[in-house]
Amino acid sequence: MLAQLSCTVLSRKELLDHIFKLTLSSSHISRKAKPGNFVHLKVNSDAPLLRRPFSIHSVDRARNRFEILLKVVGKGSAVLSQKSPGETLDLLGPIGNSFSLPPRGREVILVAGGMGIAPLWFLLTRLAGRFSPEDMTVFMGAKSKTELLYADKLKGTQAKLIVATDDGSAGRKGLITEVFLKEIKKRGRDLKKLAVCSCGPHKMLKSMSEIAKSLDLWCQISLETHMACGVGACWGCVVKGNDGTYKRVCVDGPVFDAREVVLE
Amino acid sequence: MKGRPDLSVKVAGVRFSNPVLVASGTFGYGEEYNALIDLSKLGGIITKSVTLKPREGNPPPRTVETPAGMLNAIGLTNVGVDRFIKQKLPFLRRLNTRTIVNVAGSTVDDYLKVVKRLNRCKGIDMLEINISCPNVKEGGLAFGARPESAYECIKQIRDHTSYPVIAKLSPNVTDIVQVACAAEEAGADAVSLINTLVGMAIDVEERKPVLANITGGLSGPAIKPVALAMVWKVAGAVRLPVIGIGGIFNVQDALEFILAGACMIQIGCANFVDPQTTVKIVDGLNRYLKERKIKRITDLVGGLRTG
Repeated sequence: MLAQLSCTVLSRKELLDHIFKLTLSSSHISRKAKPGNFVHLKVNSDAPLLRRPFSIHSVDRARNRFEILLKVVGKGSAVLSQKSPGETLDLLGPIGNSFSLPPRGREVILVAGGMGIAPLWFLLTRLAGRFSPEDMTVFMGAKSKTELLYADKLKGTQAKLIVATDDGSAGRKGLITEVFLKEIKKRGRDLKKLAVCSCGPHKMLKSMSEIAKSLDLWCQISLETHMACGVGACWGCVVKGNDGTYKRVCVDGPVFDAREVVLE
Repeated sequence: MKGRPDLSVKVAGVRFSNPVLVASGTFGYGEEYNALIDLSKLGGIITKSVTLKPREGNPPPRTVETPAGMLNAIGLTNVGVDRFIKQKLPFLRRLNTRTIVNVAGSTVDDYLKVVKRLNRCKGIDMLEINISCPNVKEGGLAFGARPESAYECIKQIRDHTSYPVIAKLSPNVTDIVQVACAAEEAGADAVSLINTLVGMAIDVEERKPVLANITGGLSGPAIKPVALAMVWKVAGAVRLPVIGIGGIFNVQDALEFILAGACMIQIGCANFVDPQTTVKIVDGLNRYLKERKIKRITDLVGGLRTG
């Protein structure tokens, strides 16, 4: 249920260089949000002008709070990363669709690239009760060890963890999508038993979409893009579907079947 | 002053409860914002441009933020007139606010076909004719770029509908006053201005334009002074009601346009930033009039003191 709310910053933690976790108060978001949903945050009173979308990273219903992860990439994220506890933020949310729960009996594979762990962590916590840890694998990729998020936290979940970095400074060397592809091919399992959920940089999701199409995988990807309205009115944030029509990332997504979108 | 000031405005015989409209393309078909604001508090809703056939629009990226504004090149994505009538109009009809349908086309005949279908509908109060979209060849700028073609397009529509007609004008012309005068001569009931200004942004790492369409339309606070000057010029040159558009974000901005001669205003880009903008402006206008003991908003229109 979409609402416009004012929420208070409860804490700000720098997880890695330029990567922050903000804990925000909101009973509405903590109760209504599902994995894949996002909030559209107003950064400041004036500049930058447009809101910025952030995946919901975790919710704490008992304490009426939720978390987002943010990486400083431009003006908007830089300003948000400096918000102190006690400051308020104007938000729209929760917005968008959510990950469909993988059918029971499947092996769940989460493929995260960098900040892509944000919604996947939320999903993982929701899947924990439905799937046993031995049926869950997390592929976590980063450019290098210094940018690797949540390796320790993921170990604590008992799901199988496979780490890869582009420079080989942690885990295997290579792109996480290549490692993922090699791994599922190596296992030679019936690919129909897999349920894959992925989030990460655009190039990575393009690869995931191509892999999903070539192997006909059950695979959901959560897209990220610039947005203006965030409520489905302006049609500024579209992605092309296989059928040639454009879909709005904000309300038709952000989660799409990887086989049904064409990423440029 | 006792009681509330009168914010109502009458344009071409249609009474609006207040002068605050939402601009075409920024508010979908109204339903998208239903969860966020009380739509009955708006003076009226102007729909996304409706064309004869459904349109997918331009490839992404379609938007980019620029200093104090944004560029968009959506490309008139819309469901087409038939689905608009079936799927979108019923919602608008139920609302206690005015509905203005924005119409776009690539030929005069296209416009007329859309208008004729809308003629048979209930629940439409006015038409706004888009002769000013900068982002598609078929978006009407072919008509809005010159007074002669603007006249031809508006005249034809005027002759084929009994709805009041607003001509939405482009700032991307040598002299907007001439186009406004042509629209007046052609029988338009009002003019709205300005549509977006053609602009561009470049990614220097990739050496590519940021927008897939290369250029887009600039909106937001960045264009407000340009819009204000054009509204002021046009208001001084035509007898028609003028509807002001361009970077209106708060009641101060709204008042500036009203003083410059706009009898109504449209809120566009600001809906994205704060969906409450329209409602806040209506409240702000009430407060402004009350504090200054001005009875009617219409008493302020064109009230600019020059010299």
